[in-house]
Amino acid sequence: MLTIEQAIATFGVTVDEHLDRQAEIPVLSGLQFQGDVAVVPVTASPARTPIPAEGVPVVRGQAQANTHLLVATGPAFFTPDRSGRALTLGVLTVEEGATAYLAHPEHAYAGIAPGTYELRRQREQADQTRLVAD
Amino acid sequence: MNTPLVEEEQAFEAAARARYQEIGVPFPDRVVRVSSPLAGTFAAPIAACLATGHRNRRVLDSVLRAVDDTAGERIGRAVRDAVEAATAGPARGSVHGAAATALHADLPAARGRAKRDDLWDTVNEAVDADLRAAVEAAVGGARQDTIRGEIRRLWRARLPAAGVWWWWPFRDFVLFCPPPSDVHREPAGEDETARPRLHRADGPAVAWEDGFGLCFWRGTHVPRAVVDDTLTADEIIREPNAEIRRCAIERRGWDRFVIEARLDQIGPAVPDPGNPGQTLTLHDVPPGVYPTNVRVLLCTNGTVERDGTRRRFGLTVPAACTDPIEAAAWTYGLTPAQYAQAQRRS
Repeated sequence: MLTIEQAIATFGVTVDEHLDRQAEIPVLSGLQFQGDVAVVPVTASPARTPIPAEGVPVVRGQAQANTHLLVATGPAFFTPDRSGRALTLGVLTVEEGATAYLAHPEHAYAGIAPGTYELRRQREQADQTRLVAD
Repeated sequence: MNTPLVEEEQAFEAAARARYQEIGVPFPDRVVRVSSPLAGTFAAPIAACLATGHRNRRVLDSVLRAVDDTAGERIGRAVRDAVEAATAGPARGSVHGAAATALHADLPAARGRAKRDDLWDTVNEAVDADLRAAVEAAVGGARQDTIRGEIRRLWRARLPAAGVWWWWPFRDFVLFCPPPSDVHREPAGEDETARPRLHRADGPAVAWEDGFGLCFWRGTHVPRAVVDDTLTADEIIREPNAEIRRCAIERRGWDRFVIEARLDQIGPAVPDPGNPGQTLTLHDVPPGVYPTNVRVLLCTNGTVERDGTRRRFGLTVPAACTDPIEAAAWTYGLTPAQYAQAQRRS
């Protein structure tokens, strides 16, 4: 398991100064949330597009400050959703031996174990349902 | 008032001169820059009434005092300065009194349509609304005499050909106000192509040098008290405009509004799965409070803030949600059973 300090050194996404640099990042295969993004384990055909070294900004925050960046150590794949379903960001597949991370300046890192997942946004009820930006 | 003309001011004056020429009226010698559209709104009619011989100082002073009382003394001083500059000094020949007739009625007919710009259209509409409110506040009382009537008649004029400039063209003088120098915008969404919208949480999003400003919350023109966050929960609920009410609640934050407005809690607080030590609560929102029929889920961030606290926040959910887990699950499009399995929230 990486500590936040090691993850910052590996992926280059710094996090807020008050967050404990020595804390280990749990690597989970179940449902987890990073703010307004959900990592939902699914039974689906695996993603086939490799996550590039610079990562995939699955949610771009305003002014880059709140971007959820998907990164990985080892083979991991992400296929952005093109179906137009509002909440679905895409499918993530983490191969055996690999770990994916969602990196965010305020929420730090979320570790994702091998498996296939759907990444989703959070929504609110409004005149038209709108996405949450945290 | 004799600030050297910058390039934009020269362009404005050229456009203004062209408008006068179109209707065959000589351009006046007195060209006075005012500090805000609000200062011009009061100064122009007062100066016009002075120039036409309406010299009842008692009435004039009562109007100026009304401006002090309602718009503030800073605006009042700006109005007095502009009136002074527009009317002081030697009169231009013998026509000075009688000819100081407003040209508004002639000018709009002589102009073309301004270049369209949504953001400036929004600013314009908001300026008009705030000026109308300021005029009504100052001279909207039952007692009407000439100058009050003139102010209500003459407060608005703009020269579209030169962008967002406000101006008050008369035979003997022209008052003008440049566009605001202080304009705060934010992206309207995550899409980089989204048009920016006017927004500022700690003051007017659009401001002039004398303190006159327009408040916007995420693109919606709102009263100053919304941005200053000084309304009581009851005042927010009584606000007749649904959009302003929505903005006021967003500004306050649902976490505080739910408590201050004593919104009924639906069922007990439940532990937030994956977020140890934190709870979720669901609250009813009475009809007419929010533009949409909703309930509110109060949540707590998974990550601590700089000061060691955790941010509480509210999310609007469908009114059909009957418990906090169902509501939280809905926000991610999950079933309640799925949501209950959450392992971690960061």
